[in-house]
Amino acid sequence: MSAPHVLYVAWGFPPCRGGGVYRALATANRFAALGWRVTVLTADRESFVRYTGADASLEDRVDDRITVVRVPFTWPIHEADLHRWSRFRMASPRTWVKLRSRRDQLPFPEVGYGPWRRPLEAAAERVHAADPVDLVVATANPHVAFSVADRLFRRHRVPYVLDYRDAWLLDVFSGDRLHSPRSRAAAWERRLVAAATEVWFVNDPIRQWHAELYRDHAMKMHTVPNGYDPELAPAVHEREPAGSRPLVFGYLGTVSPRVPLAEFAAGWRRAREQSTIVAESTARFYGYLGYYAAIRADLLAIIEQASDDGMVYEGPVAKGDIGNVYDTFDVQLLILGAGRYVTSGKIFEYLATGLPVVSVHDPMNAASDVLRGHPLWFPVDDLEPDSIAKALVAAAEAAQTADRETRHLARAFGARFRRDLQVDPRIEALRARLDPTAQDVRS
Amino acid sequence: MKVLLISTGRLPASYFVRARAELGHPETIVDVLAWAPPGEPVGELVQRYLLLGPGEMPQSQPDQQGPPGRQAGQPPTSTTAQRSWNLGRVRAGLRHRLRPVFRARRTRALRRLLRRGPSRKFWRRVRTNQAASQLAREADLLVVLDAGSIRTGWHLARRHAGKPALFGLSAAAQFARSDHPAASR
Repeated sequence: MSAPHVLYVAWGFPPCRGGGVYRALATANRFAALGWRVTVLTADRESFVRYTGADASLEDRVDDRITVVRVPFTWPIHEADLHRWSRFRMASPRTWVKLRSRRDQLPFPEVGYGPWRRPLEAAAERVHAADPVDLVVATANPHVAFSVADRLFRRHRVPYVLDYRDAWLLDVFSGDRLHSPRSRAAAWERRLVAAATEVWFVNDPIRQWHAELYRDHAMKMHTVPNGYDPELAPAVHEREPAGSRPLVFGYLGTVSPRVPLAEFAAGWRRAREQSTIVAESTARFYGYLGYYAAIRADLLAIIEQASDDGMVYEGPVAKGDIGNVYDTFDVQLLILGAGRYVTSGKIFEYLATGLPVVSVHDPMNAASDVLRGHPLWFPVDDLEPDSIAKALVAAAEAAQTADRETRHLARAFGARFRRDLQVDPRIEALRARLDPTAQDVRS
Repeated sequence: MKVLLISTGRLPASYFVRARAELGHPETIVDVLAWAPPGEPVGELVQRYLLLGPGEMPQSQPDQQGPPGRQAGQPPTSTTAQRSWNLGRVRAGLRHRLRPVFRARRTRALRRLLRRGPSRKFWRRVRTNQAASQLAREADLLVVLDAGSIRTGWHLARRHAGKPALFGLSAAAQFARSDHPAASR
């Protein structure tokens, strides 16, 4: 069998700057590196520039062997240009939104993305006609990407993998069910899971929830955690104890409204009262404030209100520059929303540095499972100011005193989470399944 | 860049601080076309504030106490000695007595119909106001801030077809950071 052809379907792909993009980029690149011919179906560049923000440096990271097919995407509900608004939308904006949401869900039960199903499926059919596809890997959300897997399976019996970066029916923050068992979304998922070759999840709690829901298909479900990308890994050079100089506590990543930023600010103030080291230190935030390109003013206000206490917002960083930013940190701040199903992509980058990590999140959070055993990990007991302050002060002392050996142990702990070590075993298993005689074709 | 903010809400001065921060450039000139006066004096934050609706521009610190003997949101109390038949009092009384009807889910559509915001009135005044037309003409960017001012913003966008007109401060901030020629003026 010649190199198999994988069709990778992801709405968010470079230059999109959303959090899930790194997994999509790395997965497509790993398929190419392991000898597959890769075609990526994604949205057009303009969509990312207009709606999510774009990071042009990410496009340079796409493997040259990958063919990227861009499918036009529109997001009328987010259209802010009044020149593009109809008279009806102007006169009755609420009614328009309500009707539009319903209309969006006619082709596929997902607000905003439903209308993308038809052009996406048509593009997939064209790709398959030009160069038959051996495997579809669709990553969600948005879940409309799964419709391509369904289509090529029903029409051409192309096997597929569902890659969940989040969950469809489960609210990963609250643990509640988002769609009833009788909903269209639930029906779609039942059908998709039943026919899938494999279903991937980012952590064990989410996989277990789905394994309970689809007991007959639990065997095909795998945890494929996120990891850090070695070529983008933060500086991991030898660090000496920081000594008595002022420290930099750093956060790098999107600050979503779920991030307990206000709780952190309260804990940070308390830590400054308790510790002269923290009182001389700064807490620097890099990344976007909110999910979209525009800064969320409420989040910015929380940081600015604490500016006298050394909290600073530094703005977004291109993926290619993050190594330099990590290089300025002495302690990393892992501030996450609550929920036992929540992990985060940035946790793996944090692990790669070997620097102390302060976990400001619910101890039941799935991120705790990843960090347990890290020699420089400082979790909080709860989100009360005293607990946060205690962890910050302990981390500051560790940054001042941790020797080379401790830091080496911390880096060795993080090295287990390299991205290729997470995804390669599954890609090789799929190759073996498609062509049992195939040899390992690492490049 | 000259930005014209269009609003029907009563905005605090801090809103304009935030708006200026989000629009980025320190030299951005902000004008406001408004139905309601601002919550506090806006000082240097805004170059021109054209008020077309009821109310007056605040001149100093707003009175925190409110009118004596009446709390915000409470209808006027009726006493024999103070009884009068002015239209405002009659309307307030009717609204008070009809409150159960208006709060019922089934009458939500009717309530919306009767409680039309100032959207139409606002546009009617803007349409015939020379100063408002001048503000729109001179602006590089029109920004609608709330649902009540969509109608006005939409019509102004049609009058000035080549001028960017956006809904929401977030979109305006994104525009200010773009490479659109108007954003670098």
